[in-house]
Amino acid sequence: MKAIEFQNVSKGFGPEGPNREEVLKDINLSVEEGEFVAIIGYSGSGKSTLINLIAGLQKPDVGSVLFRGQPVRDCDPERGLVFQNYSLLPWLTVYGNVALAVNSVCKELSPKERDERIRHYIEMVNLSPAIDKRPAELSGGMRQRVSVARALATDPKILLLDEPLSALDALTRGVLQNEIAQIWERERKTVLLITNSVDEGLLLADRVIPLTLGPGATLGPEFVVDLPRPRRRADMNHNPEYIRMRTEITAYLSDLRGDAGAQDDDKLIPFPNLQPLDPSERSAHVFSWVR
Amino acid sequence: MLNRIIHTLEKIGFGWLTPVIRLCAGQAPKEQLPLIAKGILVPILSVVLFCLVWAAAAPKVQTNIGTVPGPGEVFSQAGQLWEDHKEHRERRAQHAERQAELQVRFEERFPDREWTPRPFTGSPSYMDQIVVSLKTVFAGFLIASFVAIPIGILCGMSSTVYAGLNPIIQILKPVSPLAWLPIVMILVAALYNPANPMFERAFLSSAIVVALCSLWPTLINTAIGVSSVDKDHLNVAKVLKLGPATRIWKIILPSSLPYIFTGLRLSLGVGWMVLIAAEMLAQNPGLGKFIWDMYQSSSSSTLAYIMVAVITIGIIGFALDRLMLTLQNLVSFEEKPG
Repeated sequence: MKAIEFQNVSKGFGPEGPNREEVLKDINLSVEEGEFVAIIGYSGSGKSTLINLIAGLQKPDVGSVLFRGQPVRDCDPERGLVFQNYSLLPWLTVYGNVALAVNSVCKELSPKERDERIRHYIEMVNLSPAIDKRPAELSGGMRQRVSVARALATDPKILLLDEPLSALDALTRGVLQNEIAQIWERERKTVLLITNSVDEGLLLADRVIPLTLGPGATLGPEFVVDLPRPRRRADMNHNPEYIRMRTEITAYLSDLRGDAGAQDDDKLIPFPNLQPLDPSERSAHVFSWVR
Repeated sequence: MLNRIIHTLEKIGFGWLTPVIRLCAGQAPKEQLPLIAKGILVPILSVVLFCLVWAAAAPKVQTNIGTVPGPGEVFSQAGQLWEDHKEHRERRAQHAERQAELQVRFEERFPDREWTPRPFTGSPSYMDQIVVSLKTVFAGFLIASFVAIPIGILCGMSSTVYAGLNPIIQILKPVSPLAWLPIVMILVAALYNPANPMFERAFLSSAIVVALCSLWPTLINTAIGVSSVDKDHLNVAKVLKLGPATRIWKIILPSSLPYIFTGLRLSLGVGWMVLIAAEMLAQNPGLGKFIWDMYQSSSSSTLAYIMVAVITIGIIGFALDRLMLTLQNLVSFEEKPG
């Protein structure tokens, strides 16, 4: 039985007619249990829609999305989702954010077991010293770690990572990539990673599958990554197989775009222009006029 | 330490004291002086100027009960009210003492009969009236909050509920307290007839009118706050499959608390304004009744007494607003670092 299956899935937004925007078209994908698959694509190509479909936040218009053979009808904590912009609750501490997930999902555990579990996962992402801090006091990398801990703490069957690292600076990104790789080695969960970085896909995944440009994006030919694990970034830079695959995927992606100058690697890695949402500005607005 | 004091002061609305504290601590004294001048000296000067203009203009206006009082007279009347209050206290204490003595003698003579003390019959002092007003406004404010917050949450969570309630809200919102009062008084008289009333009817009518007029800002702000909860946070609730109760308690309420408190603050302000009118007509023994009684007595000091009441109402209103601002600052979470 496959962990995740997409069968001829299409998804669009808006009413029928010329203004309707088809985001995904004829998506066929199957992910084995325990596999780490990376979907790579440009920003705006519908990557988040893809992951929302398997998470259950959105429903397909055509086709079916299956989780372990069963159609996905609703959200469920057994499919743990790590959000692109962390989505931590700003009024809760690190502990509180993870506890919210554990308390609502692991109802069968005693309070003591829950507490141990919460602390265990915070320790796993190396945040024990910041356990009583609120998200506002944490850096972007630390916030994303909390988000990962929150998703893992409910012991999901699969882990969905929606561009988890794209809002981080390059150095923090590297550190967190290593952490995700280590956690995966240990837990061996099925992971679906959405990313916009070829390197990230190659470092972490068993298969890298590109998503073509929208509208009506579909999956391109898959690239099987046979590199031995653990893949250390420093070694990879000299690994001929790695370099070959990177060039190949990059060339495929830039062909999609029809770009000339496909030789310059640095230019081809599309860095997203993403900022974490900052709803605190909203409260600043409200109070400025009453004060 | 210093920064914490300053931070606390700013949170409770005493930000204007910051330069004084910095000056005392010897932090950049040259920069603090202009700030002190602007934050403290200018407001004091403008109040003094206001009093001077008032003092100069007031004696020129003749009314049928004498000239309009200047600030000096008003001030001395305020002192008079304070003296009256102290005397009132004394009389009350004497009355209580006398009652206690009588009780002892009564019980000696009739050990088998029960003693009923005679209540104090003096009219309430100005301070008592202030206390009654505060009690009434908070009673009304509490009723308003208990009604408005749940309805606001419902409106914010369901656009259907909002669509249904919106016309009622929009039509009832602009109604004046003076229009509500007769209805409320008749209804209270008809429906509230217990043998041992816990509340005076006038108190109840005033509080209900305050509630009717002050619940709207809280209701609307709660609805806005709940409907504008961050979509990502709601997605977290969905992914974790939180039940409705947990969703409201852990996600929706904390997220909309800043909005709710803004609404509560506006509500208390409206309630305090409405209260005076309600008390005047319902004869609830608070500041509104004080003003009305003074107006009816029309002696030479009437205007001065009423002006004392006006200033009192203003100061208490300001204090209530500061109180709510402090609460509002305490519950608003900061999402940005620092």
